[in-house]
Amino acid sequence: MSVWNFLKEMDQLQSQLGELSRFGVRHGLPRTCFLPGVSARHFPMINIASDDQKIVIEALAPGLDTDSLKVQALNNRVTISGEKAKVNVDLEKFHRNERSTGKFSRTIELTTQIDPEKVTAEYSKGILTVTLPKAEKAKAHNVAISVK
Amino acid sequence: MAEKTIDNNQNVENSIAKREETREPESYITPVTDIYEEDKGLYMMVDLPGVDQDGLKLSVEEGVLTIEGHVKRSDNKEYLIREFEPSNYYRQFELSEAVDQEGINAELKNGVLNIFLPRAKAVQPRTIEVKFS
Repeated sequence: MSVWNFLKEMDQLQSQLGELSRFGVRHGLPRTCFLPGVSARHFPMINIASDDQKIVIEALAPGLDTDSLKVQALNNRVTISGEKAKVNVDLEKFHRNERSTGKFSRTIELTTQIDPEKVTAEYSKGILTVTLPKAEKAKAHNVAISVK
Repeated sequence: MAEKTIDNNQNVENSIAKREETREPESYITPVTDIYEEDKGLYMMVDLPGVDQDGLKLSVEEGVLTIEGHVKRSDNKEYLIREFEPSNYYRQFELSEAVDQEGINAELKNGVLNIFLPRAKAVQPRTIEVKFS
């Protein structure tokens, strides 16, 4: 996503440490504490769910350019790519800069064959949901048992 | 702009009360935020993926801006990989007096909350009339 910027990373670490001092130890660390550097974060984070008929991928990707968003599906591989728009503001004007921006691409290899023709994708509320129906030959079939 | 966090004691009470009511305690995370300043005022961008109009609560009370987002949990699916969980968001910011609190407006789009905090008009110098008697 973003280019690694030493000063920015240090700045962020400092503000995270400052935030930490306000929390009691009892409740554990706040969830954004010690985020990896902006350039080192996995993006987007994904959940993969599966049932007999389909595989559903949910990607946590708020604020994407909907035009740049692209989903490509192959037999057992899905690639999600796009761009999170950069704000055209000078760095000096930022009080806080925690969100990362830039281009991303993530490829997911699946263990089952899918039907690339029937893949559907939906982007709403900052979450991208890709539904991948399994290929006919990868679906589970019931076998009739004859009892003698 | 200083950030304000929930008072510790208050938080303990809340979490205990919630644990009795629900099966699993609600978890809150601090959403990542960008804040930048322009001539007209401050612009904030808060990432709140999964939050819809009904689940969002934005309020200003005693000079503190509170952002609260609730995410509807989906039914239990069988997950192969789970890198994130839908969780609620909570973050507070203390506003300076230079912000015109009446003029704050916000927009939620594609999971990003854009808030505009206009700069308050400079306090007009005032001459006080003195009555002579």
